Amino acid sequence: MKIFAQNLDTKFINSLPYCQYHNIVLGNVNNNLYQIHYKNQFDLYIFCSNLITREILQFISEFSNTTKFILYHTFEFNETNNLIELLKNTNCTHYGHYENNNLKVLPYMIHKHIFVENKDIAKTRDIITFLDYKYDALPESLQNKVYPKSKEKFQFFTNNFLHPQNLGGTTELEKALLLNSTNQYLSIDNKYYDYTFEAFACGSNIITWNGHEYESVSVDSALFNSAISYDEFIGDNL
Amino acid sequence: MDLGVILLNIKPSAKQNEIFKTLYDFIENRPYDQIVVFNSYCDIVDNYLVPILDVSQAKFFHGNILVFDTDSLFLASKFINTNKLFFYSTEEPPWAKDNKPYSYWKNIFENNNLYIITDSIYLNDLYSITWKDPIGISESFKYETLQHIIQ
Repeated sequence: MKIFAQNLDTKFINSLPYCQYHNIVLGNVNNNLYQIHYKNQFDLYIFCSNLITREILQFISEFSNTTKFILYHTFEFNETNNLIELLKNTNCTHYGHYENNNLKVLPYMIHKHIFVENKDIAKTRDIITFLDYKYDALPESLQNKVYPKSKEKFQFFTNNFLHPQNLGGTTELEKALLLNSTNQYLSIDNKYYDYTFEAFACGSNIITWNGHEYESVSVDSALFNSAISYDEFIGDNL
Repeated sequence: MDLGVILLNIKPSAKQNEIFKTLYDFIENRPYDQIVVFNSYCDIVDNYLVPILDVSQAKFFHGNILVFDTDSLFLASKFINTNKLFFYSTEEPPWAKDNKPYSYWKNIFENNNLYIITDSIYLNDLYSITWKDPIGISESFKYETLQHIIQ
């Protein structure tokens, strides 16, 4: 099965190419969707709500009988209902992070073959977090945790903004190494949609910052065990 | 302690003059050590007569290497003959100015052979938080302070 996913810097999309059993291509559409389709004949297309264009809407309507579609509604997208209404006569499946009419909640997913505890890796880092490209600037709540207000060894990754403690974008494989080499993973929000499960799988302690002090987060083992792999998610939607 | 200094572009400036003055002091005070500059573009008259070689020769240099910028650091991190690689940092950390992937910075800064020297407490703290503890602070590039750090 061939799958195409629209390229967007979010955890869900960035994790897809690491599926073991499905061949998933990430790419940009840029008014080229029909050409992409006729050249490659993908079986499933995954589009992102905040990158949706008229071309994509037309394409979904046109190929709804022969091809499958997933529309991923990102955290920051607030016109979910309009899109669902526009595509109501198609076979497009809508996934998001919260419950809504006709919007399925994205299941908790983890690449269990990548995020594995490796006790040979020394825990040389104190606190790390992945901001997952959701912020244009450092969140207000963390302003007191960075230099010069704090000398804590706190590093963050996967952001678009520049900051002396932001060490850049990482692949999922690098994230697994980082989580194995850190003592604590700071969960900022949406705790099971960030890298909390992955940190748990890699043996890091999970903490949150409430503005005054760190609080330890205990991961619900039943929920962790119920998290499916991305392969299973794709398989269920084919 | 033989020391090779990579200065890719040498242009007239007070900072370059200070570097050459200090290298001259190293030569004067350590007559049995080899002190050499590796360079690809030079636009000054070197009154201190510090030996200058083409940067392509740097990879053959057995001894310590000193660099001042990220391009030189990236270049020198590939050398196999280097004993210690010293990075004298005087500017805002490069990852805070350029949105490159983590792997790029990791290849440069997670190098066991790398020894960072900064010119301020601010930079010292930032390197300590993000990569590794610098080996010293030297507010200016002077022989008197550097002789104890670059060894």
